[in-house]
Amino acid sequence: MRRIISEPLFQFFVLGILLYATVSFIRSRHEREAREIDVNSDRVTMMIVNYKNQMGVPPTAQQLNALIDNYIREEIAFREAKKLGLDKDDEIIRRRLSQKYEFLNADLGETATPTEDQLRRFYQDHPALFSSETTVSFSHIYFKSDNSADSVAKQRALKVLGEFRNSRIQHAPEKGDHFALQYDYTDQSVVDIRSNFGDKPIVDSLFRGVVGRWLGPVQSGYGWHLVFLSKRDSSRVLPYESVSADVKQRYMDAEKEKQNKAAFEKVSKDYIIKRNYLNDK
Amino acid sequence: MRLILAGTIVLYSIAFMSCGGSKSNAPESDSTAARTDSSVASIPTNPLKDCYFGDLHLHTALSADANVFGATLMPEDSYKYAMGEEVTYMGNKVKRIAPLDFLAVTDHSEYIGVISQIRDPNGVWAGTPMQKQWSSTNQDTIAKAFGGFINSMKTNKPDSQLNNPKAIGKGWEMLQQAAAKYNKPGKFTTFVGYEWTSMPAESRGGSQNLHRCVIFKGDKVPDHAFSSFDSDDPENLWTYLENARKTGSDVLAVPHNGNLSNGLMFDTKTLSGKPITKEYAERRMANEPLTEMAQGKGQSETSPTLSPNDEFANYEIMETLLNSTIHGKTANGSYVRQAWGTGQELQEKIGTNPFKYGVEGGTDYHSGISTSEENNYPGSHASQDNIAKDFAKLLVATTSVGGESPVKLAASSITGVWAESNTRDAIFDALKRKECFATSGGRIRVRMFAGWNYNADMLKQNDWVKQAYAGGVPMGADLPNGTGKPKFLVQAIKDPNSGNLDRIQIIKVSTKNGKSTEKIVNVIWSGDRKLDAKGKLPPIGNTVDVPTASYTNNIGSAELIGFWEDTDFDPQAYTTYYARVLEIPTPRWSTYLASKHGLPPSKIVPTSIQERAWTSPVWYTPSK
Repeated sequence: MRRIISEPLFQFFVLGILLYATVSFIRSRHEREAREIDVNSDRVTMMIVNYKNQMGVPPTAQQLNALIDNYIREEIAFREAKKLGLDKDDEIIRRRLSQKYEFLNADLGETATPTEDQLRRFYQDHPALFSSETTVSFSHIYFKSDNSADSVAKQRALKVLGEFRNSRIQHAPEKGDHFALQYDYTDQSVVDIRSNFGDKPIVDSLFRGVVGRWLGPVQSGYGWHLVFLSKRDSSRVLPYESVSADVKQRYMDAEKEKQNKAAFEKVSKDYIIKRNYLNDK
Repeated sequence: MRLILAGTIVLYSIAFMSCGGSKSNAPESDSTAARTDSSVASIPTNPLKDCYFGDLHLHTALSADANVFGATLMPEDSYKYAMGEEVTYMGNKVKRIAPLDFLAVTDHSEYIGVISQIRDPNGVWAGTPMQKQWSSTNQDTIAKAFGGFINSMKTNKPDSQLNNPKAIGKGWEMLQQAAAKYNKPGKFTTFVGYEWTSMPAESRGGSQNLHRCVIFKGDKVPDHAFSSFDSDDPENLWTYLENARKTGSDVLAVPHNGNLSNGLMFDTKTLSGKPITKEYAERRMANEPLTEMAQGKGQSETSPTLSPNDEFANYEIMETLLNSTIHGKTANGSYVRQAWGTGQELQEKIGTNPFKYGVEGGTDYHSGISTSEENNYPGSHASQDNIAKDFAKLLVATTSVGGESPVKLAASSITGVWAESNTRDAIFDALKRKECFATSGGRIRVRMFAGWNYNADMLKQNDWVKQAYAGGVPMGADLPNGTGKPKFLVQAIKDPNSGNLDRIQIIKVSTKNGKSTEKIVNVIWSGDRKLDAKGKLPPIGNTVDVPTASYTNNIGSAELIGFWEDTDFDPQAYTTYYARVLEIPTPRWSTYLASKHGLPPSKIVPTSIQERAWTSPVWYTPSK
């Protein structure tokens, strides 16, 4: 007997039985837990709150019973689906979970109220965010082409342009026809010109032409023009005082984005990314 | 179980009470209002007024019907698009050529925002059968859902699942927040608004369109957007507006689509069947000074049947009652020009004109974007007329869930206002005094003034507008009593992105002893055409090349300006005068579409149209 007990094979055998019993016991407990659906009071409170949020009134007792039954039904189907591995390789579940993760992890860090110094530095570092649009100032002469081919008005304009060679004239609306709107425009953006003169060749002339001389003849939605471009302000940075509220908003947005990015990078450091597609032929 | 229930209900109540303070951000919004006010004060104003263009009628994905059609753009996208930014519509990038100066997003208040919340993949309805049902892209399911929406309004029986106060409140709040965010005084104006969608059923079961868009001057608006489920009678809407005005911002309503009202819009009795009284007429005009002259679903000026002598009356006509194949009754009560006469006939009897309407224009698009440009029109009802995808079908289809052929939807309209500055106050005040006009979609700038002492020479002077204001009244006003004959100054400047101008007409509707007549006068026109004995002018011509969908501006004028004296004036007759401006013919959107895809043009609609503008009238009332 003692020999048998001291036999390693026997010892292994007994240990095996013990191990088997323990594992079976644990597994059966797990299985019971897996078969158990616990509808506790927290769960029911959640159902009532969700219902009220959705419908504006709390559920009646009957409706609540239906909600609970529905929850149980959904939970059973959910677990069976998981057993069958339906959650694997499902693009929608994958995306939903990743969205949920990103949503839950976004904007977790508190963004401290920025100091005036930080805001001013941000403003100086991001001039493009706080700049005005490119604008043009010009005077024009109008040649109407009502009830005539374009070439007629264009010829008249060319003739006037010829008179301007070597002159210092910068403003001469009387050389052309009466124009119903203005002769002199200041600080007009591309959008202003498109609305006021049409989406026509005049837009390009004004925003690409040489400053300080007569341009044209060029066509607008009204007819033909000679244009004296007196000034083109490339977009310029607006004074800090006039955009301070915007600066703060954008600073906060940028800080949040930075924090979110840092948080993600921290997590992603632990992953090993293999870009095997680069090697696969 | 009972214990758990009681406990959780108590728990819930506590949670609810502690959340009750969610509206406590009121002081915050007050401080932003104060900030806006001080910045508004520094905006330059022009006492002679500038012309601003905008849309006062637009639906987004917050509207139940637009949403089932597959519209995804939200009010914020609408404002961005109107300001000239690029947005993605039905998978394609779209951008206005000429941005708008103002916009009111006016989603249907019935179930406002509910479908959008049901379809939200991260919302409370996620994964429910309701979400599945409302997210369908099956055209039969969409048609059924739309039919159900219309039917709930025809019968005034809301769907209990959709009529969810909480979700509706959220939708109404989203609309207000978007308007607050994009209102930039001096640059771009937004209005908080919505559409009250009353459409009682007629005897054959057709819908009778009595819809009104509600536009608030400021941001102090009621918590609840009065819907047709609250009442489909406009008199009850006016009560709501009167109460809203007492406790918050000024507000007006704009009835639209008289053409689809089966004769009810300008009926000579009230909706409840009573005769129109002086009190009713005064309330109506105090609450709704404007009506929509034209929009995507046709114009409501007049029809060829009502105005056989008007050679321009056959323009974007739609008379099939919504969501049906029933042709509505249009002999009386559907069109604005006729209503101006009817109103004067009632005025003779009761002392007040109930239809003294100024005019505005809106798109009424269910796409989220005001795409009123004929050569830049991507469709207006999402999956129902997506021209990027269904172009071949669209050019020939004879029906739609709306009723009529989808190709009959017009790339139209917008509102022009004459205001001192581009701010909520200035534009709203201009709308209220009716110093505004409608265009068929373009930016034609039209002015009209009336007075007793004007003369043709005034127009040669640079300050004629100043003189015109000093010596008379602009569109939308009453001509004060004077001696002699009324004289008019009219000016139109073309839309530089569209065709030249053909002519300006003044249309006169006068009423005496219960009888109204209309007269169309050609005041000023392009070229050297001569009037015939009847006062008719030969057509301007047509340069449209259909296969290439192009035209040339070698006919017509960039500007027309003229003087007219009403030599037939009868001081005893009630008279409405308004101006109509016509462009030279240009391709209709459907022609641009056919040309782009090398398809034959649609036979359902004309290949070219004469785009136009209609002013609010000036009224003359005989002194008793």
